[in-house]
Amino acid sequence: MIRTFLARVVPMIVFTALASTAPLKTAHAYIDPGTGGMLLQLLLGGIAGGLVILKLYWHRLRESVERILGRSVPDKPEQD
Amino acid sequence: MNTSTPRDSQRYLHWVVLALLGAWPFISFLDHNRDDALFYWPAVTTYGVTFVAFLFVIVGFARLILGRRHIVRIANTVGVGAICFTSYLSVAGPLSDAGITLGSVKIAIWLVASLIIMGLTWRLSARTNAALVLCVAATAMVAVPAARLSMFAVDAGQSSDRDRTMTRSEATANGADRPNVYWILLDAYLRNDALKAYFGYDNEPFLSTLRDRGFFVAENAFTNYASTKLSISTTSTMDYYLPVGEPMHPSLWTARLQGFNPVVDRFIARGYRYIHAEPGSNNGKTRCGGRESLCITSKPGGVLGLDEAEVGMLRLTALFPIIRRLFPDLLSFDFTTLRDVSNKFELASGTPTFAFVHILSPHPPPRYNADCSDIENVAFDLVGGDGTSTPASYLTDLKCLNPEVIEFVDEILANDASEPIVIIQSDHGYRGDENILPAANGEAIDRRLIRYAVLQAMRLPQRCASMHRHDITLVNTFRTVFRCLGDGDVAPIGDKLFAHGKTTTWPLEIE
Repeated sequence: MIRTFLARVVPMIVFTALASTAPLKTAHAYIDPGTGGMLLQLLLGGIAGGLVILKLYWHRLRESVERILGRSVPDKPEQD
Repeated sequence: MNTSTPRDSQRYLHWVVLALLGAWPFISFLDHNRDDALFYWPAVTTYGVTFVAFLFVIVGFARLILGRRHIVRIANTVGVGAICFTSYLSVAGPLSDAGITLGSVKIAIWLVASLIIMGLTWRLSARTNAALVLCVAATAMVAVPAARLSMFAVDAGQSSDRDRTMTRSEATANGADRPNVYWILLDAYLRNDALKAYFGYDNEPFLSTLRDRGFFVAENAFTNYASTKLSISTTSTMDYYLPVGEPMHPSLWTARLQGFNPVVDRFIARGYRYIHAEPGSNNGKTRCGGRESLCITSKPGGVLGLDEAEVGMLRLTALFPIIRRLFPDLLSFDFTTLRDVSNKFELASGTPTFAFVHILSPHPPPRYNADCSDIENVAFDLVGGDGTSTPASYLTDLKCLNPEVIEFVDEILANDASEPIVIIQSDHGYRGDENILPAANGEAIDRRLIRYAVLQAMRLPQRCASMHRHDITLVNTFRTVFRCLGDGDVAPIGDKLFAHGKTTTWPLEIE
């Protein structure tokens, strides 16, 4: 399930990374604070951090979801 | 809830997080402005290292006060706070777009949002893996700009070797005819037909005054590039040396704009001394580079004169609007005027002089009030996107600049007995063409005319009068000068115009 999840999310991260490498303005001659690029990089960082959180808390999340759906979950030690 | 004491494997992770989050705004800024990175990287790097060191000191003090137990929470919160600190413009920009124009409201919203984010960080950092999560996020943020800067640094080494070779190979030693030569560059000064068509202003009185003083005013002159750095570097190379359709590296023009170019090489080979008047401490592109015998720069207007990169970095933070509001005279964005040049200019007896004078006017930001008195607090925006620069302010600056140019020319002609060569030209046309109205005759805006049609007035000795051309492009400026001085290897070359993007150029046909 994690693999399926990663298979969906990783392309999204790669796309975001590539998008943040694209020039935001085509003909720019002056120093620019570059807030657009910064926002994209923040988004990329947020996605990466979110993935780590998901990995760390995946079992707990899955347990909660399956409990709501009424399924039993095999025991697994908590990571946190 | 777990304690915030780090596990052994993550003992120092919070310090890494702090360093990455503190350095990220500067890495991102430098990456976004790679075109100017060779001018500004030492300053930006110094500010970045100082900022990160400052964050470490803050965390160190906080640790002394709050205790070692909270070190991860402190470091994470300070690191995220650093991001919030440099994200003011990212918040203020969208708020302005949404119609919130009051600066204090934008600052308040940013401050509240920052405090909430920092509070959440403090709370969540109590969890064991908080530093790990933040470390991965910070690494992802830094990775892309850092990788691009690394590639840029590798490319810089390869390009600069080629650039030096090209510059040296074109220098020649020659000549007994050595009048002083003045190259006065008025940034973004339009040709008269474009002024008439789009500003409804006839600049003929100024041009006539120049003609009266022996100038030939080219009526159909074009720049080869509608960009300061590409235009001046091409003019000072006397050739189309920039690659077409291929990625360009700033090392191709950085040194040339600062006096390390074939034109200066050729003058120095002829025994000239070189005077370089930079446009002001704000603009690094054509700042003095060490080649000159005399560097002339602006008179500081405030306590702290900022350059273009410092303004860019400061604008990321709320400090910029706060300081400008509370202490309007503290920061200044200084520009060299022809009066500054006149006051500091020195001719040396017995040694001919080549002077490059770059005046960043009538280019934004506006420098003159309607009565031609100086604007006290000049806006900090070269793009003119802050609303201070309009077609009307451009025209005001152009009109007010004209008498100063005439005064400077008169001073040269009165004091220089060498029968000097004087070039008064612009590097490109008007930049804010999205703000102007269609021509008076109702035709659509001819962007080639408004961006590429430039002022070009040249005063050569009478014997060279036949070398003048109305349809000159700037690449041939110094080919004309050196031909006049007797060099036989500088015949005019074909006139070409180029459009440009951030990293490439492509041909633009002359119609």
